[in-house]
This record gives sequence, structure tokens and C-alpha cells, in this order.
Amino acid sequence: MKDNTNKPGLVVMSTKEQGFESMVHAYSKDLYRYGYWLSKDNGIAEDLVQETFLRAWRAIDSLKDAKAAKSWLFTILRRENARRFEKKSAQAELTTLDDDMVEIFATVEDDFANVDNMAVRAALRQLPTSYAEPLVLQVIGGYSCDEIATIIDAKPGAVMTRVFRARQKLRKLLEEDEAKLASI
Amino acid sequence: MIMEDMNCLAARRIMTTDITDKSSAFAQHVANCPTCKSFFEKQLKFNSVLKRAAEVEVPEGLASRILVEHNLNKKKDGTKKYRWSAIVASVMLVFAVSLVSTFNSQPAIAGVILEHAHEELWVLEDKGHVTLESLNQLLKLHGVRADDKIGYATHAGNCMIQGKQGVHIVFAGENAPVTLIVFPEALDDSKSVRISDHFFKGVLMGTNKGTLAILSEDEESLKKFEARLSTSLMTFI
Repeated sequence: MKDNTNKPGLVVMSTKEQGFESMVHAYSKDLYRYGYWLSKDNGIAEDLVQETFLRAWRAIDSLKDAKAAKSWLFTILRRENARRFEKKSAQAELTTLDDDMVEIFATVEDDFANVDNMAVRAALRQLPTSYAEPLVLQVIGGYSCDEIATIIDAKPGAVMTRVFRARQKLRKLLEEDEAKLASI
Repeated sequence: MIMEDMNCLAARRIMTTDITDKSSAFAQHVANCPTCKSFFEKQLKFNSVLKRAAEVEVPEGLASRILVEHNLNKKKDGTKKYRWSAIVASVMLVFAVSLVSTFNSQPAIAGVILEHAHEELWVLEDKGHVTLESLNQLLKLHGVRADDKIGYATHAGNCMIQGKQGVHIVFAGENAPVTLIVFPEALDDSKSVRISDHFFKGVLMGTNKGTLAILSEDEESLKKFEARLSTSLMTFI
């Protein structure tokens, strides 16, 4: 058999392969979850992750900073999801966060610490994707509003508003469902 | 409420939108304002509830499936690359064959063998090991037998060349794969003939039942295989 171990080109190839495998192991779960909350479908979520890594491999040479890999992958997945739709519906940009809203929201006392997981998931599913998406990126990806704005190509102010409204709506949904809040 | 650099409203705006905020002004305000501290703790709890809910179960073996798919696609891309080479090669071959007929430097069979090799470029992809026994099963019909010095075969199969059945074998070479084609049509001249086109270099050798062609894109791989062949492959008398 041929021995290519001393060929620099193949050593680089191997490192690239290893880097790719590390990315798959490190980020596939978070990407799947992001894909799930975008599509709300297990099969589509897995397809999105597969396609994301397929595209990532083809463009891996363009990734100069390994630290940016996670955000890069999230962005690819988001684009893949957008491709599923023939036309992107124009989403109303929400750019301001009313101070009154913050004050009203700040009076809520519940922390929902013991709320049933399934109830929260059901509530999350009811959120419009434009609200759920930045929230999921925040809680799963650990991203700041500025980082989310870059990933979803929106203004930071709009992201803040969406996150705020997502949280507000979730609380409302959970409060409304008295049966599911019985364990609190 | 304590009014530091950041006021309660600004702190709550952060808590309800960007809970990942790690600015010192925010941390300082939360540390010094009991109301906001309590509110922040509740937000953190709610966040952990959300995180738990958002972390839906991931299908088992997802990462493995992605890597399997990745490897399959790499192979497909490699095959595509060879197919593109084949298309380019076919165009070049028309030119090469016309040169052969013009200058009569290669026997007519060279064009046929080279054309076949270009049509079947996909077999150069390493598909695993073919045993010596399998090789000899195929070679037997053509009066040829190989021994274990012949090398590591990655593809072996019957093929049709101008309506005649031949054998097409690919070996792992030093730097590039080496193709061995056994063709039932005999050479006009029993002497070995060097052949080449823009992609392959090779040699045609007459046997008592037909012709052997050895081809490789790499000269060194070709020479080493030729040397090996002379000691390992025997033509039946």
C-alpha cells in the first residue's frame, strides 16, 4: 500500500478532518436543537444538521478562526432552513423595547422553577419562530443579543425585543395553563 | 433601590433580554440592589427552566451518521472529480487518437485501451481489498495467473472493450493507482509498446491469448508495478 504519511498535503488534510470531526462531536447536538426549534420537526432538524455539516465541510477553508466555528455553523443551519421555503416572508422588524413593558414584566413574581418540562416545551412550540429563534439561541447557544443579531442578520435592538416578547409570551402561556402549573 | 451607574430599569432591561450580560456595571448593580438581585435570581431560574425545555432529546448516533454521510460524500466528490477528468480526457482522447493515426506512433489498440480506461476512471477510487483468489478467477479465462507479489488490488472486474470481454484491475501504486487491463485482442507485434495520452502513461504487452495493458498517471508508480509484474505475473504457455 502507498504510504502518504510524510506528505505535508495529507497531514494538513488529516488535521482538517480532525477539526471537522471535533466540530461534529462538539456542536451537532446544539445544532439539532436549534434546527428542531426552527422547524419543530425531528426529521427536518436532522436533515438540517446533515446539510449544515455538508456545506461546512465544503467551505471549511474559509473558516479562519476555530473559535468562530459554532456561530458559523449556526448561521449555515439558519440559511439551510431558509432555503426550505420558496419565499421568505417579510418579518416585521421590532426595534424598540418599551420601558413600560419592562416595568410591567418586572413585577412578575413566579420563577417557574418547578414547572413541568413538557409544559414549557408546549409553550415554546406555540411561540412564533421569530420569537422562539433568538430565545433558543440565547438559552442553548449561550449567545448575547449582539451575537444573535449577527447570526440571524437582524438589528441588536430587534433581537432584544424579540427575546423580551418571547419570555413574556412564555410566562403568559404558562400562567394560563393552570393545570400544568399545579406543581409549582 | 440603590442607584449606581446603572439604574433598576436598565438592569431589568438586561435581565429580561440579555441575561448573558457580564458587564461590571450590571454585576455591580445586581450585587447592591436587593430587589434587582431577587429578580435576577428568578430570571436565572426561569432561564434554566427554559434551557431544560429547549434541550430536546437528540437522536442517538447523530454525530456518527453525520460522519458516515460526510465520508460517503467525500467519496462521491472524488468520483465526480474522476468523472470530470474522464470528460476532459475523452475530449483530449479524440485529439490523441487523431495524432496516433496521423503519426502511427501507437498501435490502434492503444486508443481503444486508453479510451476504455478513461470511461472507467471511477474504478480508480479505492474501494477496499480484492483478494488474490478473486483476481486469479478473473485472469484465468485470459490464460494469466498472478501470485501474491502482484500487489494490493482495490478493484477487479470483467469489462467490455469493443464487444469483447476483458479484465480491468486496479492496484494501489506508489503515488497513484495502477490499472491493469487484459484484452483478448492480440497485438500486431509481440514487442512491448509504450503508450500515453495527456493523462495516462503505460505499456502494452502481448500475451499468447491477447494483450496486457498497464496504465498509470504517475510514471514512478508505473515503473515499480512493471518491475513487480515481471516477477509475479505469469502467462500460461
